[in-house]
Amino acid sequence: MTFASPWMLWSLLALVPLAAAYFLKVRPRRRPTTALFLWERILEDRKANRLWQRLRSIWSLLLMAAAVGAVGLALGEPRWPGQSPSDLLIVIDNSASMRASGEGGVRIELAKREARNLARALGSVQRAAVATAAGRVRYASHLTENPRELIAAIDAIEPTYEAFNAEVLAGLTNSPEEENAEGEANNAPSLDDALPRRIVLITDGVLGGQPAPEGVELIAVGGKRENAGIVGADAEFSPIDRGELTVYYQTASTAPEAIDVDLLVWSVDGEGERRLARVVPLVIEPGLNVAKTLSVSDAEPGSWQLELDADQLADRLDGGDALPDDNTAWLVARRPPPVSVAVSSADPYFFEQSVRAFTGSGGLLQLVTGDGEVTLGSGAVPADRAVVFHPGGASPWWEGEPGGDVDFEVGAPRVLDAQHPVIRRIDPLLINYVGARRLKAPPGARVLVEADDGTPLIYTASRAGGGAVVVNLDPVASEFYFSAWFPVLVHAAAEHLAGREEPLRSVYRPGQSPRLPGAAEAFTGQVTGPTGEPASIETPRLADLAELGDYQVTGTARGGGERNWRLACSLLAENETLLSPPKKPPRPADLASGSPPAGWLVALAIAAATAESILYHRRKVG
Amino acid sequence: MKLTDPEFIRRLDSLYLLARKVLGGTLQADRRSTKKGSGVTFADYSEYYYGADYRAIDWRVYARFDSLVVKLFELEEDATIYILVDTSRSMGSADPQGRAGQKFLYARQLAAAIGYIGLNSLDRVAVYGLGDSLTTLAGVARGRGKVLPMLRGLEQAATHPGDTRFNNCCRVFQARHTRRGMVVVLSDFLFPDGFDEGLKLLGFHGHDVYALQVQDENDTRCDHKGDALLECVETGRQKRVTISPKEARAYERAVEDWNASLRRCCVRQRIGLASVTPDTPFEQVIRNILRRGGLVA
Repeated sequence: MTFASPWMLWSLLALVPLAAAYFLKVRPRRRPTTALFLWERILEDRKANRLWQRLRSIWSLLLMAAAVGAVGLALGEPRWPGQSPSDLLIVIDNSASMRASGEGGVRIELAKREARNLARALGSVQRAAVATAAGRVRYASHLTENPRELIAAIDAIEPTYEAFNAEVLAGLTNSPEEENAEGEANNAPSLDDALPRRIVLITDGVLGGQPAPEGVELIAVGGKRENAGIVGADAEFSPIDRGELTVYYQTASTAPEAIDVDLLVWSVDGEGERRLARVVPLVIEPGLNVAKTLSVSDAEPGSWQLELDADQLADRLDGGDALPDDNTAWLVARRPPPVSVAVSSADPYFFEQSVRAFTGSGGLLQLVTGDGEVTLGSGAVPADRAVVFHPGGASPWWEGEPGGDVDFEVGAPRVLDAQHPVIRRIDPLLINYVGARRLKAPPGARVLVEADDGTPLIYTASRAGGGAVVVNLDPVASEFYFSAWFPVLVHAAAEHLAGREEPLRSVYRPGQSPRLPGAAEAFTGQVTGPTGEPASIETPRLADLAELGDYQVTGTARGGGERNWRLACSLLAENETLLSPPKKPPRPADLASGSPPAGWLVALAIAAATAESILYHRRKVG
Repeated sequence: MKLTDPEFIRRLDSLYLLARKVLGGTLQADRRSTKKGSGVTFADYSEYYYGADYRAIDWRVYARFDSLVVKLFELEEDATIYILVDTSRSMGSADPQGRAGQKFLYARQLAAAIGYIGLNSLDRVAVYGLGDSLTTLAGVARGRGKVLPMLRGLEQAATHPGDTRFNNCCRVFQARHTRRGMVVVLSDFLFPDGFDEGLKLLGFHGHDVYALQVQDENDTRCDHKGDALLECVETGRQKRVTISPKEARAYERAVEDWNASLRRCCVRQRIGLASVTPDTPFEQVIRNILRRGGLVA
């Protein structure tokens, strides 16, 4: 055993005056009596206690010496043999699988108990920090020597519904400089470079199927439990029959044998009422099952739920279903109407043809006469949302008259934002920008492609209540009508202007933060999650989805007005459902757990002092 | 208070006047005896026996029942009063208020009162001290003129170390005094050797024995708890003990049992017993005794 403060052992010298004082103290007071013979008769029955009576004084001294000695040793801050003075990072796995119950209780509680024991063992002589790891690492405390602070941080840890991402552990083993270079690690407590550090991950063994990175020591909690759940799901309307909903699903099970269970398909209306749409009998094989699809006729867009019959699972699985959260998948079936596109051009043929190219199976665009959501044309297109080729004349989408009728030759175009939705599916450098005119984009415009002299070639512009995509070339002179990029660019621009360039998925996983398509940049809105508690949001990108279920968002749409978005969040994590039967790793060596030696010594001192106080009380007042 | 103090003697005098009033006797030998014999006060009948004084035959009874009975009269005699005062150290121990010798003073005051009344009634009075041996505090004396020497003897009495050997003292006393009389024992009766044998011996030899038990709270209660070095006030013997409430209760029970055994012994031996504490004024004790018609068993 070593001591962090060995100079405090000098306090053991207090034993000398203690012993001296004690021998003086235990001399009893003289009491004259007139009937000693009666006392002798009473005490004659207690001869058996005489040895104890004789030893009691020495016992008292020994007890007090033990108390003082224990306090002296505790002041020396002893460490268990082999306990190194390294900084310790205690990482608790709080992924969804830690919600599973099993032998000894819920896994997250077992992990927290282990973490508390580690924190207590530090005994104010070692620094440590607490973090959680699931989809990402979150630090729960600063680096501290105070076990109480660590325990308070551990107590506050709650399990998430996120799947464990083992890659986040790699960041923990990086040097502090590397950590600071990574976004999340900016909150990481600065560990002392002079001291070695240890990272201990307390987990149920679910590491996304990957081994723990080097430098991370594992403490496994939880036992083997049977569980079955849905690990994959999606829903989409058929492009052929727009009333038929195709549902994709995948299941997994940790049971050693196949189990038969019904898959219930629920349709959920706007009021939250569920209507059973289909019951599909399933046989779930052990492990990850083959993905399957099912169809629901006459389906309506909106919220849907896939649910494994919980009662059947409870019957079929030994010990019941360990993780009920993966039995249900929440989905949103979307069937957006096609974007209506009007053509405003003296020569509309190729424009109409480009729209018709997306009118067929997908139903993405629809050619209309009169007002459409988007107007496609050339010259000065008088519409709030316009896709403009070969700009000319006066228009709010450019400043002044674009270069008169004089075209200029574009040397080497530059792509400024290749990932913008308007151009990400085309190669702008392969376009022949013949007929481009010198013009100036309006303030606030976003130039995607520009000429070598800075003339914008493709840009987006917006103003209150509308926007435009301007393509600065003559499609006839440049023979762009014959290019495959032409309909693609039209489609992308129409979807962008209609706010559909990045549609919402039918389901998101916990920890994901979807961006609301068609939302205004200056967005204000309100999100109502599965708990029913509304929360205000200020950006079109939602914060990490934390709860499983349906989300309803209301906020400012691009171009003004208010719009609703519906989202769903489901667990859908193979590794969490399969609960990775823990192949328990050996416990890290030299890792103290439980109360520190100083704690035990203080407890010993208290016990000795208590025993002595009882003896003292008996000596003084019987 | 000194026993020869005039104030104290005046208090004794008033007690004597009370005694005369209560007992209603004359000056000489006016103490009523339980013995039967020739006197003037009728006491009882007895069957005629050969040699009986036929002047005492009650002829009226013979005329009526045709049987010879003789009338018995209370014997009026000048009795001897022996006062045995415990002079062991246990009588001189401090009371709960820390006043040493209160018990002993009280016992001597009681003895003085009894002796005073006795001497004024022209009885013979002797006072002895009980300790590890019998000591004479005031020799056998008679008459009012002996009051002061008796009081002086009591006043000068001191407590002595050593166990009270009551039984031994009684044997010595009996050896000295074969003449029967009234024996008044004033003590706390906390004798390691017991009191049965001594009291039995006195009763066996025809004495009228009376016991006045004087105990204070220090004798009957145990207020101190915890570790203690108990020291016998008589012998100086020591014992190291731990007194818990349980032990304290056991001691108090033991004293109660001891006193109960004294009461049983006195009842068996037809010995009068009064238990008093020094807190009770001694005049009140004497008055109570007198009003009850003396120390009766």
